[in-house]
Amino acid sequence: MFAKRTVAVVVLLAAGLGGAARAQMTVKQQAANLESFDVVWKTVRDRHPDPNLNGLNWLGIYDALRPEIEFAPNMLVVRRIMEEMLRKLGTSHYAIIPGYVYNQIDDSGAAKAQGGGSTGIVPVIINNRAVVGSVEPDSPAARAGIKPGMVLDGIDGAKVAPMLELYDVIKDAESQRIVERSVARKLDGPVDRDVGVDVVDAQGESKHVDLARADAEGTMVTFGNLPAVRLKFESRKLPSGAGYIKFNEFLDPASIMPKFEAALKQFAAAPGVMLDLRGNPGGIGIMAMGIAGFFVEEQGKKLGEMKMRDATLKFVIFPRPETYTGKLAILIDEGSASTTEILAGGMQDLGRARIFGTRSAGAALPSDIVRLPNGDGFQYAQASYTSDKGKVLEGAGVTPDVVVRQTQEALLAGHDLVIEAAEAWIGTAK
Amino acid sequence: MSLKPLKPGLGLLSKLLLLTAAVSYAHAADKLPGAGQVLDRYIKVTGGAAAWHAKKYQQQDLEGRTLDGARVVLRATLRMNRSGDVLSRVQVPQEASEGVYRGTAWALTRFSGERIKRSDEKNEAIREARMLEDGDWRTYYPKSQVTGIEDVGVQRCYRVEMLPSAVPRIEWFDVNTGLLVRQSTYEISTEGDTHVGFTVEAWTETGGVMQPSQAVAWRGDFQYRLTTNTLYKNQADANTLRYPEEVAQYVAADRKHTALPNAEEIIERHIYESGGPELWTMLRTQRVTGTLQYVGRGIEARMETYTAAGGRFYQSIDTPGLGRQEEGSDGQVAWDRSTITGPRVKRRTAGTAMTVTALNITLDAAQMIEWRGLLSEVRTEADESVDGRDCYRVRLTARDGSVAALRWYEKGSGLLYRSQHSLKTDMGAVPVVMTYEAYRDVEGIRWPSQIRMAAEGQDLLFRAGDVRLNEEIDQHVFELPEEIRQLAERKAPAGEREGGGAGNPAP
Repeated sequence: MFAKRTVAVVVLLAAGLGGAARAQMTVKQQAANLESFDVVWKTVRDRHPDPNLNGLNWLGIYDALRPEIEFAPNMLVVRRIMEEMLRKLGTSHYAIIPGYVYNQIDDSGAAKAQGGGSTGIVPVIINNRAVVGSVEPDSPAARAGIKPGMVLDGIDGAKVAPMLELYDVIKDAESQRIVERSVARKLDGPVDRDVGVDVVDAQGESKHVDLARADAEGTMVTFGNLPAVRLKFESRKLPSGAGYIKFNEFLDPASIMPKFEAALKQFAAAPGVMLDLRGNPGGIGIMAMGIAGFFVEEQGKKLGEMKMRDATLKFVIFPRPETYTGKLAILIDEGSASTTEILAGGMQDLGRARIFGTRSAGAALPSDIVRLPNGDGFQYAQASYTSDKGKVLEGAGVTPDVVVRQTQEALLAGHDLVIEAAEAWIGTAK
Repeated sequence: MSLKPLKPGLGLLSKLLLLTAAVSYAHAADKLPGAGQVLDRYIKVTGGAAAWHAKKYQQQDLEGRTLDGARVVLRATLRMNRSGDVLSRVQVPQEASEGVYRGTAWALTRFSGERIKRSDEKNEAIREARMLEDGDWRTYYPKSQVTGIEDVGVQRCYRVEMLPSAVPRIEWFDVNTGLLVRQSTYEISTEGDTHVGFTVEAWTETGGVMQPSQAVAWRGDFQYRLTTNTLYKNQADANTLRYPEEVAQYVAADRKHTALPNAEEIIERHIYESGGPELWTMLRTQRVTGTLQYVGRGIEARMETYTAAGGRFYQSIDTPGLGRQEEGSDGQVAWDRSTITGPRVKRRTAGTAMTVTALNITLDAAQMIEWRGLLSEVRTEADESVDGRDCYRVRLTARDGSVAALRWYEKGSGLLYRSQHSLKTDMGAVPVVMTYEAYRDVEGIRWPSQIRMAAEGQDLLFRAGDVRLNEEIDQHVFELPEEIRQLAERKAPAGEREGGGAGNPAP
């Protein structure tokens, strides 16, 4: 899911795509921009969960900013003005998504034609450096000897470090995720098209490899106006006997939920199950209730409450006919947001799961994305959200029961400290 | 008379006027006598024309009880004069009043407030306001005929058709005593005609005239025992029969053409305009397919809904990216199932049939026809424009105490245009606004083929494709899926919950 910071970062990262945005506005574009501004302004007025709009003089803001839209010289300025307006609300999940983002990644068929190939490298940001977080087995990167913990120094001849300088400009957890995504996107591309990767290994030695991208794991899925996403699901039994399940977005329940159920059946006798939601930015909110239903057998429990203008919706857990009653560890990090936080925060409050990792993004508000008349996307929050015990997740995030921070050294040594901490807990007596 | 289910005694009150005003001849010959002989004899044996015509004002206190005497079903006071003014006040089954004052027929109920009776209903009210009607039968029923001799219980009776009359009206008079034994007629109302009548059980003399003091009365299938205490005065007392102040204000507004129509009339008109109660009553099965669009989000689901008599129901929604959601009932077990939340069996809720709360794209015939049974109050609140359409806004309050719903009925077509209510879901109550558009004719029923729904920022648009009514539906459609059947058979079903469905998962 995108947030305003996300979009700002996308705008900065996509400098190469900015040419069209900097072009002069046509009369038609200007009209579409004004119409889009009106849609954004009215949507906030009518649907923001706080009818007082944080005490803002919303009409005054309209009067002040609309003329600026009318005379904006290019799309970058149009978006900046709208983002400025949304930023005044002081909450996440209000963002303008540039139209070119859709052009680039929206359509799964187009994405497949343009790319669909992967190196197998999953980057993470550690200490403001892009690091190989994991390498998919049998991928081009694995075959080329790329190991977790190596620093990603360059992609196709361009240094990665300048991208990370954005951290100093936009300091929030969401930006980390989009930078990670940006690095990942630069690694991805057309199948069989080589990408040059410069890495630095544990000994500080630089190494250049040309990787022929291969079909990536997972499937491209779309959901309405959300940009297409490569959905990956992984389940396996860890050497300790614990079950391990990971998926990267709460999307496509028709495929994820049956896989989840099948995995749990496989782990029925396991001493514990680990649900790795690190880097999972959320997705379809009610999937949190559905997932929780595999672990909570008591009726009437809830993960939290979503307050809207005229209604309060309880995130009720629907127990499955067969539930898993062993230990449950949920793994999160700064990239875990929205639906992930709703699930992790709620299960923590209920005492049903122990949370491992680092604090989550604190961007839990449920939101929608609609396409604007000018082609951009507009994300807006529908509600405020509190966990079962009344904790406000927005901004604060979910604080793990066991804080474990991943290190480059551990990765280089082949260790995932968060998984190991969860395994250690699962291995203890109940 | 109208307001059938809510004040069953009120209409009957008017009919009971007849008990106080009949005299006839005795005529025991096997050959059928003329109606005049029977009716004039009745007047004579109950006191004579002179005694009756001296009475100018009448007050009756009435009490109706179930036949076993255990429960009071009617308590009312009825007052009228020979000028045609009448005022009825009912305490049981609920506070209500109605009457005729200076030619204006009116009703005031807690259910729907004040209204003015018009056309047939008005004529009926004025006719029923005739004090001593049978005494003046030559004026009102000059073409009456004796059509036979029949036994009513153990009494041999002349059967008299009172003519002319807008509805069939039959009276039976004892061949030996000349007294009225039974009356049978129909009550006219906005919701159809109802068979009403009474059989006299006892008589008493009051002020020189004979009065029935006890009768078994019926209204449709419902029977009860009615007792009356009657008081007569020889002076008319018009002032005490004036309508209540709120009715007076309504009458004044009506004369200025600013009065809002009564909510019952508006709802009944919708039923009539959308096909009429008869077609709705005959509606047995529905199969509706169409698309459900999540407006502005690029999502369009396919929907299919089946309903059949006996509370059988099945609905599926296939949404790209979400999978399939199903909801159903075989008439015994209500259930739902989705890829996200899994299978669940719903609990029966006391006082209701099945709690099926799926997105309602079929129309509930029972609710259409028997809407009064679901509501405790209806009020017309305003005359306002909605989306450029002139509408009446009606507030409905449910009997179960749930929050009020609003409906907007279009003035021109009489059809429902919009409703606003609170939708109960597992996750909580959600305010929903539904807009019914593009009515089209399906088997004589006006069907809204497009329904817009707005629920807390979620805008949905349902477009009906194929709509089939009263066609045979394969019974397998309503059969419980195997996993639901297994859940239902468990003693304490997993997934059981308080009623309500998951609603429609929002993206």
